[in-house]
Amino acid sequence: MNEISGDTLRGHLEMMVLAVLSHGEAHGYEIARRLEEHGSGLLELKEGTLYPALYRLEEAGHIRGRWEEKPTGIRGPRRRTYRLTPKGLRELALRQESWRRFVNVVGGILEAAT
Amino acid sequence: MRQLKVQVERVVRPVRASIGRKMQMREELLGHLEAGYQEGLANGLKEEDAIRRALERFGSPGVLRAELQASVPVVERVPYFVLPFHARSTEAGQPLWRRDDESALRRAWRLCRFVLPSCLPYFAGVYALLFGYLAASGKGLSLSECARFMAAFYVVSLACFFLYVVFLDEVQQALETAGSSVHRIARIGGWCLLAIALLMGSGASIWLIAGNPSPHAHVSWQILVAASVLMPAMLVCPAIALTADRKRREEWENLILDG
Repeated sequence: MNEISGDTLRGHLEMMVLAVLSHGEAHGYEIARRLEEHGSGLLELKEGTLYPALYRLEEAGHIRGRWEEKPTGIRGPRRRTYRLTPKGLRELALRQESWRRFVNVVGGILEAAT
Repeated sequence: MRQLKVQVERVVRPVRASIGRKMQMREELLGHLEAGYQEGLANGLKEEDAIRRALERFGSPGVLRAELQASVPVVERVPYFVLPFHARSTEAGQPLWRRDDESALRRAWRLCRFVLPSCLPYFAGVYALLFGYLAASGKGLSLSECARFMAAFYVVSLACFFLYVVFLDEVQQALETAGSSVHRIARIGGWCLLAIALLMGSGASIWLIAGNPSPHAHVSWQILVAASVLMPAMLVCPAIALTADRKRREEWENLILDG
């Protein structure tokens, strides 16, 4: 089966991130891993592109991020953990509904053509 | 590890956004690359291969840069449009950076001596336009009145800029170490201090005018208001330009990678 990448993926990335975060808070790297895991290895996501999506979602108030404090004496970049907000949860429900409708309509058309 | 840091910098440096937002991007992207690199090592890859794999999975800097830029709100992008141009003149601006063992007061005074004479042509231009307009509309001021206004605002600007640099350099820097919420309060405090200084400055100018009543008092007020509106822009632009590059450099260098 062909891998899903590029624009196909980008259009739905925010919805997928919301869906992943509905299972519990996570930092960027973990979100990428979860997406990879749930995508059965067919998602060809360039991991860096996850962050603009996270920033857009945070700006819109759908998710909230907080820095993880490092234990004293350990240096290096901190991780930022994101969790879904109630607004994000509602947005996810809306997008899921819209996605199901889209799949039904397009699926019906494609079925009829075969 | 330096390769990872360089890659992050390739992505983030050209993005027009506030320094705080860019630092968040840097730290987060670097953390991601580091995690990928560590995972590669744990899977038995050699160091070079682990770095290559982490960078490959991360994506193209050009695409990522454009997407990050698009995620920055427009209101934030506009004020930072000036920074890339400022960065190119970093070398020329080196004399303005803080010297070792230099006190905040001494540095503020040094910057005042540099910045305000360079603003003088702007001051003169603005006032020439204002006085010219008033003269053309039959509300002209005498030369001594013009000179008094200009001198008052020049002195006030010097005081405001002095206070502002001291605040940015010392108080804000000290509070930054106390945590992000305090940092935010300090940043807002900086703007409040500037506003108070401007109000006090305007008050001082009013006192100067009131001490020497003019037959054109209504005109005096027009000039005062116009100049008070222009002054924040004059003070804020050099302050942003002077502090942004230094802070950007320092903050990124302070992000120590190896434990």
